[in-house]
Amino acid sequence: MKHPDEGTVHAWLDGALEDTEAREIEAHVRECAECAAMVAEARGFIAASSRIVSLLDGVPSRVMPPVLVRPVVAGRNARTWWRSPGLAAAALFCITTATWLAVRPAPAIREMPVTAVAGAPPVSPAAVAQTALPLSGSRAAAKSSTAEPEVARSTAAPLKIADSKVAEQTVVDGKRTALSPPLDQITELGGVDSTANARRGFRDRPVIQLQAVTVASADARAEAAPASVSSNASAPLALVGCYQLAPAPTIGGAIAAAKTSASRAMAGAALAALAPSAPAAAPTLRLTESQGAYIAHLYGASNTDPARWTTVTPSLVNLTLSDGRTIRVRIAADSTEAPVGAGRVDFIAKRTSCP
Amino acid sequence: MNDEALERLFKLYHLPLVRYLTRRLGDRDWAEEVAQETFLRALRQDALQSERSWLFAVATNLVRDEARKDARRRARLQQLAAEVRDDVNEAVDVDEEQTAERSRDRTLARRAVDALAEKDRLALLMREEGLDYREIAAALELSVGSIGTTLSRARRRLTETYEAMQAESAARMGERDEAS
Repeated sequence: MKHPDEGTVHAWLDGALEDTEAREIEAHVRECAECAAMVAEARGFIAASSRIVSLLDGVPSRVMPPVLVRPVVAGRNARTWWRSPGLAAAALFCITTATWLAVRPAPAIREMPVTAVAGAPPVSPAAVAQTALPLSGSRAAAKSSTAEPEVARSTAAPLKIADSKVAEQTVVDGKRTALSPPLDQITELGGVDSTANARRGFRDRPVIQLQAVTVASADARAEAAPASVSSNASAPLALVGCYQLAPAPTIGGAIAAAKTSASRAMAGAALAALAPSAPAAAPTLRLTESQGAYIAHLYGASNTDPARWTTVTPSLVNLTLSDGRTIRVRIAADSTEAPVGAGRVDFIAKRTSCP
Repeated sequence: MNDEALERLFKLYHLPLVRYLTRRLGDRDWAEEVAQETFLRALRQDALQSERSWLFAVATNLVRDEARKDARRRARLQQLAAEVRDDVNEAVDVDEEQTAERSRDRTLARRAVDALAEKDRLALLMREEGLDYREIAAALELSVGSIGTTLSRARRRLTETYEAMQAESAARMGERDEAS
């Protein structure tokens, strides 16, 4: 028998050869010193490479930024989806209901209160935008409501089911959340219902409002806001916490100053509207996270009209008051960040310790 | 594929698949995500002829697709940068020295594995998870006869590269000690 090559020796050591060939090599190696040395070397490479590869096991989690980790799957809970038949049933229910509603006449659909639970089937951000009610309509609905928020969980929006891109929409008290900031600002969030608030005992607290919005897929997120998100891998999760609301500071430039002056005036009015009994006390905004969704809670505001609702994005919270006015709160990444970009900002929410 | 079949598949292959992907990617969470997507795709199949090779092939292709995205590359660069920073951190006490040593070994192992040709690397990592030659060949679309050569090359290069890096690292540390 001629000398086996290195590949054949490895195949032999790995037990990958047929019996006949294996016996031939074994006999040859027993008599050939050169091949015996090659086998010894191969054994050494096999052991060494196994040891080196095993060194790779001690890797930390969360090496990849959360936003970038998700593109492969269609949702945060996909990891254990088959262990949650209830979730699957809810998703199926939402698909069925949404499909049914989608074929109904449009005017009737637009009057429907809507909610979509976290983990519901994905819809495209564009589809969500299409279903958003005009602000004036929401305000009218807000004024007409005086009862405690009740989530119409049994109904669903005429959401257009798209591909695997994730988007969720939630409406509290029969009012649909509006994507008032442009979609390119929406990088994280999910819907939550007010029943969840009740479960957490928040119903007894000063004011709670909130909700909502959508989650685009990680792909969409990455495309939508690469600068703000990718540069800070932990940004979405880092938003969880408490924030002190303070009137937005002025920014430089004559035009900007003029805008900010108006903004400050509106902020003062908004602050008074939030807490008419103690207008000097700045409310506290608390962002929590539940199953991939942010929930916003507003404390320290004496005006507790439950008809208020908010829209949340990672960087911007819109508070629509019962009198129809809207205040805009920018979440500051740190205590020194000033409002940037176009658009009115009434408050800067700076991190503070939670009560 | 029904739920029972998926559950059986999951129990059998989830752990080795995640380990394979973790070694391949350097991040457990990412590995878990890819593994989940792999099993999701398996759910859509009526039947799998060679389950293990199918799973590893799909997972490998998912990683390959993802790796094409610039965002992934940037994140990977960030990880490498962090590892380099770890490399230069000087240990103060024994515990820290041991931690630093493990970190250095892991960094060198990662670099050595990454230095392999893609085909060699995947074949080696699959073999380490117990795939036989036929399964590796099916997953990587190679001939069974070439797997021995592929593995022998991968093992030799990995070992030699790692040892060379180790020697270089030791020499650098020696120079640093002398300078200090």
